[in-house]
Amino acid sequence: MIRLVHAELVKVRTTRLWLGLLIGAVALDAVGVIATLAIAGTAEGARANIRPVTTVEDLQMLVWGGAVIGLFTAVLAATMSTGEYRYGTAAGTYLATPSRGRVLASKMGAAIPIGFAAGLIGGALPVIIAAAWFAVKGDALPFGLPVLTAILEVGLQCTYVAVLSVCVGGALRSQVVAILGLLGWGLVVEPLATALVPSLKRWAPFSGAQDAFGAPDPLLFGHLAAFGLMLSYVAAVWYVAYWIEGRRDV
Amino acid sequence: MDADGPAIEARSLSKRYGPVAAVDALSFAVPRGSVTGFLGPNGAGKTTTMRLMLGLASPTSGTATILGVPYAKLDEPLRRVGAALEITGFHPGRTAHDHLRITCLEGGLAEERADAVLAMTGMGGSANAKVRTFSFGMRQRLALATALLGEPAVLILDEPANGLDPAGVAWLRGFLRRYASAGGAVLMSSHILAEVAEVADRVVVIDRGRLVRQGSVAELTAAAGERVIARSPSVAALRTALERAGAVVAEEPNGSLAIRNLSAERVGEVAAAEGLVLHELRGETSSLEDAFLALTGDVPPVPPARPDAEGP
Repeated sequence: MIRLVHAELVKVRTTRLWLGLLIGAVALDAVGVIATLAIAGTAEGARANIRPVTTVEDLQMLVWGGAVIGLFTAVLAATMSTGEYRYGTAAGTYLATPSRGRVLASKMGAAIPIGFAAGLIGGALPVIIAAAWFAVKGDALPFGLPVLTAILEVGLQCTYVAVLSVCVGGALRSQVVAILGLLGWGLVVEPLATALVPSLKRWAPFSGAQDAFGAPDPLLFGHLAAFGLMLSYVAAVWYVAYWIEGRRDV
Repeated sequence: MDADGPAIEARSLSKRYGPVAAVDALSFAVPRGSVTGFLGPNGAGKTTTMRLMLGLASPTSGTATILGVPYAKLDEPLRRVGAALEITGFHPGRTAHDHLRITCLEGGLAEERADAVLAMTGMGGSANAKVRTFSFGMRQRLALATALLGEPAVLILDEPANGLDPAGVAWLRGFLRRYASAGGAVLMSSHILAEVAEVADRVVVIDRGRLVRQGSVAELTAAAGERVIARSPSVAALRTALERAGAVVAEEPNGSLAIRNLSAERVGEVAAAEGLVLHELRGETSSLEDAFLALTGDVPPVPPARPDAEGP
């Protein structure tokens, strides 16, 4: 299994998609952080409920905002499955490893370090930008262990999103449908549904995961329940992908 | 694994897509130490059969085994079977070497094999070029290189000569002959029948998913019998007269008539009785192409008759 996971990682590394997505994700993350730092403490910031970063908890909130990189992780992870059909490489993959369950498991295994690394970048970037911002202003950065914990939590959130997205890609086959479906869900359906019915938030696959590894929210389950919910979502989508992939003619 | 049985065996293999039978109760065997041509008209079910053999599609009924077991149960399949199918693709942004390296990792093969097969297939100079820059022929060579990675005992090749330049075709022919001589088994589909006749020991002919014939190339061409070639300035009139006499007539691309069921003497007599001039009349042993066309009824289209080609 380790060599199959290695093969999946080499597949990702030997194309440029990951680099393009990383640049896009870092740029989006950076713009968000700079905008937050710039507006915090102003009248506009107060109206938007954006607090200035004065405490470790404020910086922690900024770090949790870096979880936006999870959307790009979702796209990359989905293409790990759907790309096999888009480029016709699925036949070669299954000739080398006829067990489709093992192939799906290896993709999920490869999604773990990819998601975690992306999350660490997404979580660390706000700290780096904030450090530079505070240095320019001549202020001290309110840094502490909770900030490091928050970075780790963003890493774990993105790991969850990546593993889930690999399974979504495996179930859907079509790259366009998988990417639009994940982005549409993460950017439109879930935010809209949870805004209209806030009690849905704890059940939502993306924002519900926030409570396992993210900012505390009274609308969400406790840590353990949220973690269990995430595992249930991964298990459910994995089973659907496994069932479909096993019966699919290549 | 079965050490003595056929290298590849299909038993009552069927695949239906709704009401359409793409493969219909197909049974045939590919012996070790031979090259077997897999022939059939477009849409006959050749690629589907190969996909069923390789576990890429599930049969509706029947079984396909390679070295005595279904492909999915082969231990280290890339060391047993090398396959190059038309449906096999490459990521356009990946280099040839990276593609092969990934396959080595997936198949548990030494990564050095990537360099070896690139050199073997004449792709050494393009190892670090991205697949998107490759011609069709280069992709075909890369597909062959992929199939050879595990030094397998069985090769399943779908139209392997497609897109290859003459040097590539000659290399492939020599390679397959040497491979079979060393005990390997090859099943190759091709629509270039002359190429199959050059390299294959045996052929399996299918049509509409069903087996039409299997046997040696010599058996097949002998079964197709002889034919008579006649050339006349009055092609249409001669054709009508011959068909009236019971012949099966097909017009060749050069305008001559290929006639079955009548001897050369009888064709001459029919032409004389009708007062038709003959410019050529000769008997000819059937080629693999003739045998194929006779078996599948896949007669090439006859070009429309030119007005000036009509009789005196």
